Amino acid sequence: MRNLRIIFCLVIVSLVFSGCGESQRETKGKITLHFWQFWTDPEVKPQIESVIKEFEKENPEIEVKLTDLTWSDGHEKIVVAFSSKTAPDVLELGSDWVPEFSSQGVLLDVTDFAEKIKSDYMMWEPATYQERIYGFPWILDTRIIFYNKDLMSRVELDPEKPPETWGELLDYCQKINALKPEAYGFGANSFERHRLYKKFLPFFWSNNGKILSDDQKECLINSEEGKEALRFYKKLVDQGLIDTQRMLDEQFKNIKIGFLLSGGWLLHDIRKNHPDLNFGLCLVPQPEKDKGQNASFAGGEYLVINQKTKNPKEAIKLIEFLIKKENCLKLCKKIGSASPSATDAIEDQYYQQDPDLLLFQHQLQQTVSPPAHPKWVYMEEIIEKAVEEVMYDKKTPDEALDEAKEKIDDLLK
Amino acid sequence: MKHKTTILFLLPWILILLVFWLFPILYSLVLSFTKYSILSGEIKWIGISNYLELFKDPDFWTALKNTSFFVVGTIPFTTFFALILAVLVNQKIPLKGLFRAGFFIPSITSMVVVALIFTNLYAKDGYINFLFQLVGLPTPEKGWLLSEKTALLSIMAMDIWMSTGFYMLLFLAALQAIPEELYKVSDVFGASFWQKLWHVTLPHLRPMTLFVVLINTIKSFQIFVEIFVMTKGGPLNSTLTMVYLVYEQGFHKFRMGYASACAYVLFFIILIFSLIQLKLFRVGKAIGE
Repeated sequence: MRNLRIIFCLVIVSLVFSGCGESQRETKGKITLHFWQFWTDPEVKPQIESVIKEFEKENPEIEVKLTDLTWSDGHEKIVVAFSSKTAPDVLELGSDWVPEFSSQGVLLDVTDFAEKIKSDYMMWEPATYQERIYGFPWILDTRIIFYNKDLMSRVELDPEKPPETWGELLDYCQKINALKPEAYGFGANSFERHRLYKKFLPFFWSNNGKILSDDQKECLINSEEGKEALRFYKKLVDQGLIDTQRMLDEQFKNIKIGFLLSGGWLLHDIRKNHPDLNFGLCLVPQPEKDKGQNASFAGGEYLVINQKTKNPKEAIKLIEFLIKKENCLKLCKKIGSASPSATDAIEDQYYQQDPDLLLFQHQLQQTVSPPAHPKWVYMEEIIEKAVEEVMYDKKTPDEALDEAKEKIDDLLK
Repeated sequence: MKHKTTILFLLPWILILLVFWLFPILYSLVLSFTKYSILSGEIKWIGISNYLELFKDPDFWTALKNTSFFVVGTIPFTTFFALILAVLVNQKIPLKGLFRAGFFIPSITSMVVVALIFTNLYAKDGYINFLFQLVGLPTPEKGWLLSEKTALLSIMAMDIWMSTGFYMLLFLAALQAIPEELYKVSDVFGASFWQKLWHVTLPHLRPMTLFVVLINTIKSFQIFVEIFVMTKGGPLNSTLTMVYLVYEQGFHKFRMGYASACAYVLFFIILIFSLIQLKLFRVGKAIGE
């Protein structure tokens, strides 16, 4: 009740003050664009400000007002802003949020413009809903396997030869896990919502699994490919440590985990704070040498436009400027691990000279996105529940996925 | 004239009450009978469907079970420890102030900070397991918050530790309000420590005990932050509580109507419990009305 009360207070406050924002919109004949973004890191923030300044220099008639959001409550703030009609012109959204908003009809349909630049950028799937495009990929990140070379050497494995197949990965994890409690094989994410699925699905997709049929009328998660993937994932989990992402990252840095599926933030953190850690990166392994692929989950930051904006043209101009490779690269260099959405960013010296970042780029080229379905949040929960039940030995992989399929089919009706 | 001034002084508070409390509370009652997507702003009247669906939702029953367990499992301990500590620090002991401050510190520490620290303490390689192993006690295989059997219990233990100090302070205030003469008279009649406790201290603490239990019940039914920071309802929904369910439904699934219905069910549960407690403790008699 208390929290609900706070929520409603927020709603009402924004209702009361909604009038004020409007009147400030145009100062001194300039068009003001409000842009809400999540980069608050003291190293990244000045960079984004300087990119915006350049934009304003190029377009003297436009003024951009930045507002910072945080990941802990940004989602709520955006929801409240839309419901109270005080949402800004341009917003940054996490890739998994875009379908939620696009399916509710609060985002501007930018298909016409996006079609023109589509081939220069990748990962349009999360921004696409019912064949229309509602956002632009901006800064991307993927999940990749981190492994500890010291632990590999300790169990007499060649640290320069990371696993290439599921069999190898499992075998290596087993060997390192034998060292427990000094070290564990695989770092498995616990039940954390909105996170667990990103760890299981790379294996699922690597085995050519599909969550929904192409016409999105049927769930295919309990296909043989899917079941195989979950059976394998369960074996992997059994050869390791279950904990939250934060703790797993911590344990990896403490040389306690052999293999961990994690993101760019960890690479950046290791380079900055643990330069001595002897680690390597590898792609998500294939099921077998010539079977499946090295697929992974990719997430990222998307730029979207409020459907109610008064200045759609200027908003598109701003986004076009922000997602440009040069501007995006400047940001990514400060972030230290992320990738621009431009397809040719991989050719930049910055990536070519850095094998770890280059590997991230390679993994990024082989990612699959979750289906852009308005009910994805529900599906995500069903999938995570299934994986969780298997991890905690409540159900067999086959049972869990059969059940998940039934539940997802119900959603699709 | 006199009334006008009174109202004028009360006005800021009344306004806040109306705008930020009363209106949202009533509005959410209305919402609980609708299908309301907060994003698109569509509101559709659907009668009691939300409530019917709620009672069929297994997650709701899990949440209700977990929340009740949390309430029943923490309040007796918190109250008991708070009372004991209050009686102890009310004695003439050295460094009394230090103890009082020490016991109270958890209550003024940010809940999020405490929750994060405890997440580390409860981890598989955390200090709690380290201590357990040191004295040869068994430890859960996965870390305390990661096993469905121990997750809720661990959060309960933390909550008891955290809230005891605040209630201790309340009890301490009540203890110090007991007239010194009563103890002097008891001494004259040769009453023992226990007799004094039973016949003088406890009866005088009754209104405060009611207050403590009542406030704590309401607060415990609303447990959210700890869950949000530490477990997000898992593993296997073993720490899913009512308010967390409301949050998930309202803000991740945008089902404000359903979330409101859930919040109202919680409201009535708390109301009923509060009324029962008021009856049980016969507060009127205790304070001599």
